Amino acid sequence: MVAVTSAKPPARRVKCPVCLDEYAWDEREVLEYSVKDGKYNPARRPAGLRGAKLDDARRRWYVKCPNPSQDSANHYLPATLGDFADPLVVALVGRPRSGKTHLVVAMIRELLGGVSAGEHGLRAEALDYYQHVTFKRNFLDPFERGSRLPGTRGGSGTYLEWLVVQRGNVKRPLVFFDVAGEDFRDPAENGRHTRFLVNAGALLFVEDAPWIFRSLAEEQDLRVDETLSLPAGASNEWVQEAVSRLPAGRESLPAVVALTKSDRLRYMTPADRWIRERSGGLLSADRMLTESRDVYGLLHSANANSIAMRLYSEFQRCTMHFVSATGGAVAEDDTFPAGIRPARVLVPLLALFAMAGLITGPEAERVGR
Amino acid sequence: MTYYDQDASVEQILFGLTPKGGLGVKKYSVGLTPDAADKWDNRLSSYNRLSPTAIGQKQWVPDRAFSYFEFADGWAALLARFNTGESGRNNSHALVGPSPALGAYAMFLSGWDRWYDRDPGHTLGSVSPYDWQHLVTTWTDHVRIRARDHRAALNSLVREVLLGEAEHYTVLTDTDSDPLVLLTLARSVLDPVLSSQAQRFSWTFSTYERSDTDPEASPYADGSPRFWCLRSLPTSGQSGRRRVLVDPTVEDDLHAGFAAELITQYLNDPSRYPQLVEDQLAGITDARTRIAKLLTNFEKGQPHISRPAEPVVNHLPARTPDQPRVAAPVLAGQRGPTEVYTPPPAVPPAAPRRPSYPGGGRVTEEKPRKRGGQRPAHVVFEELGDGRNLDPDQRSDLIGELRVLWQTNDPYEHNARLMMLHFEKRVTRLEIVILLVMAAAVLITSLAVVTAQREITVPTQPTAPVSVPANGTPQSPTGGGGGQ
Repeated sequence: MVAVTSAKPPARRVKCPVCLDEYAWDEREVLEYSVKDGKYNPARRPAGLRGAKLDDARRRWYVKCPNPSQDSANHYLPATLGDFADPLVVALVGRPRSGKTHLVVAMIRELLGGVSAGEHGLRAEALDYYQHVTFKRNFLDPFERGSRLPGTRGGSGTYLEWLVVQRGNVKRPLVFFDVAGEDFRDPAENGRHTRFLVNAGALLFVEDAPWIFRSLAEEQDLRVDETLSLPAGASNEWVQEAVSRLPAGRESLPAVVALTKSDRLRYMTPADRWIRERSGGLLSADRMLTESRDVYGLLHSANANSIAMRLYSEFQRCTMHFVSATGGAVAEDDTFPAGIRPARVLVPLLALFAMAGLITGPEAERVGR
Repeated sequence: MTYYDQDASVEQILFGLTPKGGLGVKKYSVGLTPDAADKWDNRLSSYNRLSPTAIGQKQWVPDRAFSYFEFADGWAALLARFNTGESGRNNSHALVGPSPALGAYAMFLSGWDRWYDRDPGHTLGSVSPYDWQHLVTTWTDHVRIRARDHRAALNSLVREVLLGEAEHYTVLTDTDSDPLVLLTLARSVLDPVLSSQAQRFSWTFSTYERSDTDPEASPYADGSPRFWCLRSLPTSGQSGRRRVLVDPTVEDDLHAGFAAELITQYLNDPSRYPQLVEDQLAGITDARTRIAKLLTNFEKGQPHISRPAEPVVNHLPARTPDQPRVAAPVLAGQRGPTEVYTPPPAVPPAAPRRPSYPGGGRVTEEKPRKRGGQRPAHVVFEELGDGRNLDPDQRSDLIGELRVLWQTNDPYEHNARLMMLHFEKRVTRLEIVILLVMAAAVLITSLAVVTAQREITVPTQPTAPVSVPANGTPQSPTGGGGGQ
């Protein structure tokens, strides 16, 4: 056994998605994670380890982020990070209880093995092996079993999942950040928990339908959230705070607005048509524009001051979509009685991929314009 | 941070879903200002969610959990989280106040009748710690009754703290046990050792968390509790804590022995225990020095425990049957550690034959017995050690008896366990030796057989020995006939 030495010369500079520092990627000291101790220990390998076996081992190796600015706690990045271009950081922004976590879990589930993703030629695999194990254990598995996911803990400040998405010859890491809605207004740690916004490459704004269309809130919605019986307010300080954290030039960032829990609108035109629509593997900029128009119109009819409408104007490329992460409201026992039936959860991601250059072509160029 | 008058009593805050939609302050007692309540919300926001733990195919969350925090500015909070309200946005109830006021009671308030798992609908008032005095007694009694169920876990935890290799611990327990019982027992045993008049050991804790790799679990986070209880290890992320796996596998080393003796001392006489410890440590304030002092005393008195690899019997002092076998007490100047080392009766009392042991069936002469019909461990052990002609069944019976002693919550427990471990090792070694001897015998026999076969089959016409005469010409074989 010998200590692992340089697999690649320190060549390219990377930006850490956690601390946002930039530095030369150096893979000379790789680490292995010990679940028992919760520590990262120097990785060792047999001298003859190479080829496919080495690639397989590297998928479980980590590199300690040097955090040159020394402003973050120790954190570790997948050793294969250096194999790819800088990740596309997708930031979920929305008020507390808007359904961000259920939506992002449904999206990742779709990317990892959904039929719709396959129709669009998308393939995805986990980049951070152990983080994926945790994500699967805490989110994917309960979601698959039809259990309600708990509210996101505040102050995590790290990513939820790190995937490598491939479409054709384009291969790019994708990092999802999901923080508690309360964090967007929390001044603690000088906003360090939401610092990922500064590095966001794509914005996924989440607005929930029962909050906007209170008359359509179902009995289960009212049971878990008594505030839905009160008149709707126009303000959404969580989103406003998040937008204000974005760096200069933010208006050029790809952005989508997902109207979650749109299954509650299943008898309302035109939402009823969209929530049942299937793209069949076709990416159509025109249909996305039409859907954005319908979402915008519906929001306008309900609340002329909705923040979502302002977002559409604020970002140069933005689309709006009807989505439902679970297909129905949660029952009293914190389960979804009919199981999980996500609807159109991939569409907002397709729009973001097209706007961010992961999906290429003339049609993709027109998305969001 | 001065939130309110230092002389005021402990204040209360209720957290839950607010009309704005997020988790936050729902109500607070009259002694707090709105600004103070908001500041406490910021401090506790990363701790006040009760997120489920994935255990097998299920998500598990306790009905309630308690966490006690002491912050660098001298203030403290005891947070009770309830599995009511929305999952992950549950209701919780915090008591906030100066750490000296709260710290003395934090572990003893689970039975308080004024915990609110939802808005009580009336104004909250300040609380006087004086009202909690009786809760300390009630909870302590409750804990002592359950001490036996937590013995192995307690031994592991006490040992880890005595080792002193960390300041913050992750305690991994199962879903059936109440970590607060374990923590209270650990405090009862260790606080007299670790705390002095000059230096107080902070017993901060959280009885339920999902992960020790989240930022709020970091030892560097202000207020992060020292003892952090999990039901399942997380599968990613770095932990800055020492993980204590409180399973029945007990380490068998000097610190484990020391921990076991302290626990035994405490359980033997909880009321006298603090003074017994303090008598040995007068004037020593530093926790590490206090441990070192007690450990030195312990090691002097327990040579067999410091060398666990060898059978205990070899370390017992040579004696005549009428000489007492007495070890130095754990805490010098005090009584001995256990009754194992008290002199056995010179003449075993004549008694009826004892019943068969479970799983045994052999009936032997009655030996001196302690309460519950059990014989003292030393008597059983003596029989094991001295009875060189015991057959396997008898030996098995005696080991079974030691097992019963081990599982019994009495002062013999620890030493019986140690003795049994050592004796089982010795039995194992004997078995190995026997096996080796048998293997050698088989090998020798096989070699002999092979050699014999070669002698029989290879030379059909054995070559006669050839002697060389002095002239260098060999003699011709005679053909064995002779007499030609």
